[in-house]
Amino acid sequence: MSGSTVTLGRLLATGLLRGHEVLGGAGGLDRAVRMVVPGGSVHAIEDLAPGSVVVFGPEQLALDLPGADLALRLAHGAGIAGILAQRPGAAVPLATRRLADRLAVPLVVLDEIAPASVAAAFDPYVRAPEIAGLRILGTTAQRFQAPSADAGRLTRTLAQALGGPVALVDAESRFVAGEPAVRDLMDRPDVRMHLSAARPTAGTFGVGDGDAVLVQPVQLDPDAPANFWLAARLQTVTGALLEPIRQSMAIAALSYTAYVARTAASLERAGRRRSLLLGELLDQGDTPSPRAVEQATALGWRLAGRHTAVQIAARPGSAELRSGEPVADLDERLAAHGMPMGLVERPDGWVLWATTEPSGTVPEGPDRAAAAVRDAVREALLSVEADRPGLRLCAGIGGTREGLSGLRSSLEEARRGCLLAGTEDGPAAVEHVDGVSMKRMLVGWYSSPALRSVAAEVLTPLLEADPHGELVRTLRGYLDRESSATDTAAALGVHRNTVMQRLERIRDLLPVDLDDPDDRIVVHLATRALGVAWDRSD
Amino acid sequence: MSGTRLLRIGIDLGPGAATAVLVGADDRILARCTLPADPAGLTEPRDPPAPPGPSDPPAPTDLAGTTDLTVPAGLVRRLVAGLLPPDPGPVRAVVSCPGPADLLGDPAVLDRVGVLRIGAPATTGVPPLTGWPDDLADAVCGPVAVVGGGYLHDGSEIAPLDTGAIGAFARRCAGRVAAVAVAAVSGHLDPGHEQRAAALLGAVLGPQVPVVTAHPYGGVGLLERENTAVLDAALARRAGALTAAFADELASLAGPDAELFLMDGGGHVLSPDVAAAHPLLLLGAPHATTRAGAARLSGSPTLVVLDTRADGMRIGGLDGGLVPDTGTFREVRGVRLAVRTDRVVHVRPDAAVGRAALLERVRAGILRVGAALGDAPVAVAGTPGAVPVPPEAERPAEAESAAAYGAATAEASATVDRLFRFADGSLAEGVRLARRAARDGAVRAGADPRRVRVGAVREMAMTYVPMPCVRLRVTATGPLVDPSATGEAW
Repeated sequence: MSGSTVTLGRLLATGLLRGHEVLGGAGGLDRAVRMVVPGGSVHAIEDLAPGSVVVFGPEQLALDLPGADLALRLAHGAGIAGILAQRPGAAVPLATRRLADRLAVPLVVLDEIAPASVAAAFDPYVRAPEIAGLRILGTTAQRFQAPSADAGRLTRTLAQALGGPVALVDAESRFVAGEPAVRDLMDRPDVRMHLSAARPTAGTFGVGDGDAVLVQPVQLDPDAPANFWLAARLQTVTGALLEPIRQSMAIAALSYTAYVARTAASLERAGRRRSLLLGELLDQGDTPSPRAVEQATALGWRLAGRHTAVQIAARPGSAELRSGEPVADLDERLAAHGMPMGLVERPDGWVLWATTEPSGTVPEGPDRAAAAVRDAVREALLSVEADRPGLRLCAGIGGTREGLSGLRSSLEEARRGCLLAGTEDGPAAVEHVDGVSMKRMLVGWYSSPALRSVAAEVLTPLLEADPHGELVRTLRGYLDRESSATDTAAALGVHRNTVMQRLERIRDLLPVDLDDPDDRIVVHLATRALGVAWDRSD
Repeated sequence: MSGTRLLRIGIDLGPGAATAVLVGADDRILARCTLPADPAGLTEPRDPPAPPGPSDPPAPTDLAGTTDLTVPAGLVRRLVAGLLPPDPGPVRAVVSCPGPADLLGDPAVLDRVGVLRIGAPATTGVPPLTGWPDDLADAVCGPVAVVGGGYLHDGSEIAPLDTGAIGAFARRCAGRVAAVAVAAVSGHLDPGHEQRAAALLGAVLGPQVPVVTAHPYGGVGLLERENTAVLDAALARRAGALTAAFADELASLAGPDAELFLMDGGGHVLSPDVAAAHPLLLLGAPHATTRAGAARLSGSPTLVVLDTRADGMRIGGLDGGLVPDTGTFREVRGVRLAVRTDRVVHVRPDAAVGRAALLERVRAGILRVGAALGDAPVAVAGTPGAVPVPPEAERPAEAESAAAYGAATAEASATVDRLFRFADGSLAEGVRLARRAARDGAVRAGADPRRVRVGAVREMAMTYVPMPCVRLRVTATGPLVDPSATGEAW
């Protein structure tokens, strides 16, 4: 079957004829079709050019009468590529169907048929597939003149224009939108290899039954790997149609690129405005300018009431949390967990705050509110981390404070909590720092330059001996667990003897005496203040 | 379509020895298989009937007294097995055989039949089966009904089809008849009423009761068409068993897609379905097939053929490849049929007279048959037998396989014989319609639409019909479609 011929089989596969049934002559479905014409009468078949597909209405051909046999025989003699007719009330005789099989003249029935319109719909595909291709291209170009609203609409619109299922997948072939079955085709070895090539290009792959899957990269940066891939499964990709379909997909990809870029740009612009406004509010003390208040109100920020601030940052040593897609995602997850407003960028992370009514009107106490916020933030961080291997987040939550000045102190506490959380083991660390908590004191210690320089000095020999930080990790675990080698071994997943051996080594290396309580507490603080990534995988 | 060439097989099942040939694309015989006449005497009469001398038409009682099938089981299979290469590809087999219609004279072989005439109130004067011999009528006659419907000469309805009466008739027939015959007045002009009645009957009686319609027979007379349909129906069960047996035997060797045709009395093919429903069309098939084969072997479409078989010599002619029209209809024991007679002289071996006397009879037969054919050449076909062949007769190559060859190379044809009005059209329009109908018929019978030849249109004035009309008769003929050859032609 050459790529450039149109066959009745392919025409039927376009889905233009809903509910058709091939009663016989399926052996002729792969014959080349030259034109599709309405049939005036059975005898008119003989005047048609070879390779025609003739469409009969119920008045011209009743398949349950002997005329059908005559039509098939005349069609065979004239080299007709197929007969389309209306399904008769009675069953079509078996002899007629077998005759169609023997002569290999496809006999296709439809429940309702309007010969002129069927012929008009099919004929362009047959006479000039390139015209049909231009039509597809024109439709796509028109539909994608405006950037697509979202991935769902992109795939729907493109599927309609191309006449086949379409899916949008991300750079790692994860399903984003459209038809999940098409995504599954991305697992084929040939497609997978194409998608992982260094320079993303459009591609076409046969997937059996004359079907093909077309892939088209969506790239924000033409020199970088693809951000997304558009994939379409098509059944009638003939030579003349292939190019327009490819170009249609490229148009759709471009339109989606524009959408993604515009979204990113507007997010960034809005983010910058918000961050400026927050800085202004915090700088202006207790009497903010009316303009700032107005802007804050317009953004949906509440300045009165009791605020619980949250600061979120990427853990030291983890992938960086830049503005853009992960932040938007985080924003969405937070909103899904009941957090009220968008994240605002600050110099050392991202903040937001939850506001409740002034004290007295809330049935639950401030502790309950803070706990609810902590759970919500933790879940949001966990779900974002789960989707992005390598990104480790931490968050700090401030105390619940009243008014704008309360917000300022809560934000400060959240910042310090975030710093503290960055020193924690485990995923999605969230620290809650309240005015009276011990943690607050620790934050003071940790952020003291004096302690940090002492810590660096004290622990330098350990780090020099073991750049991986295994010794520091062991020492910290040991001191955290009341000097229990057994518990430390269990926490680190090593044998107790290993812990003992490491401690021997640590004692040798350390310039201080671990048995001295003063030295011991300094070393303990130093291990916690040192920005070592506590996780082995880092 | 694989492009494998179609294998054409012609099978001649007698009377006499059975022969099959395999014919190539260039119409040459590639292989041959002959089985001697069946020792049990199933394909030929054990003791040939006594009456000597020419008889015209051949005695219809030739094969009386045989079992249900006129051909022994397994014969087709053995012949085809002797010809087919392993893994044969597409196969077409055409069988020429003495059909069950040759048994017509014997009431014992006829099934009981329901007779439905569509023509009330016009045709009640002469009821169905009028004038039949009592023994035949007693054997055949089941429930009879004359119901409203039918057409006038101009094709307009006499009365609307009385479907209620047909339903009642069908219920009377249920369980009492082996088949039903349906004939409508002027049904050959418009088969609509017969087809609708047949559909109704089929719905009530089920597929195992054949419903035979009369419209495929041309001619003007209702009684002839009706009689023919009744006898067809009375033989339909046997004919169906025969064609089914052939089809099974062929399919067992050549696969279910192998094409099967039977030969008719005009030397052309019939589909198994038509042969099963209208076994009277098979009357005279063996001799007509031999003539067609001899004409193609000798290359002259108009000729006199001396067909020598075990039961004697049949002398018949062909005019332009067609069986000459005698203008008369066949009768079986006084029952007029819508099947035309064929001028055939049968010279039987007769020990009582000398060889010279037999030769005289042969020469007389040649004269008689050839009279209407001008100076037609005389060709011999079949194996030399007891009846001497005049020395001037030509013996074409492969003459002994002429019948099988005639079957292998047989064509499809259709004849239209009906009235055409020209009050609202011209004579030319009628001729056009007649030619087209004949051509359609031939195509439907299996002819390749691109190679159909439509013969001369014969016109008969209808002075007694009170409107301007003409009776036209025309035959269209064409070689059978070869589905395996046309796939790549486009």
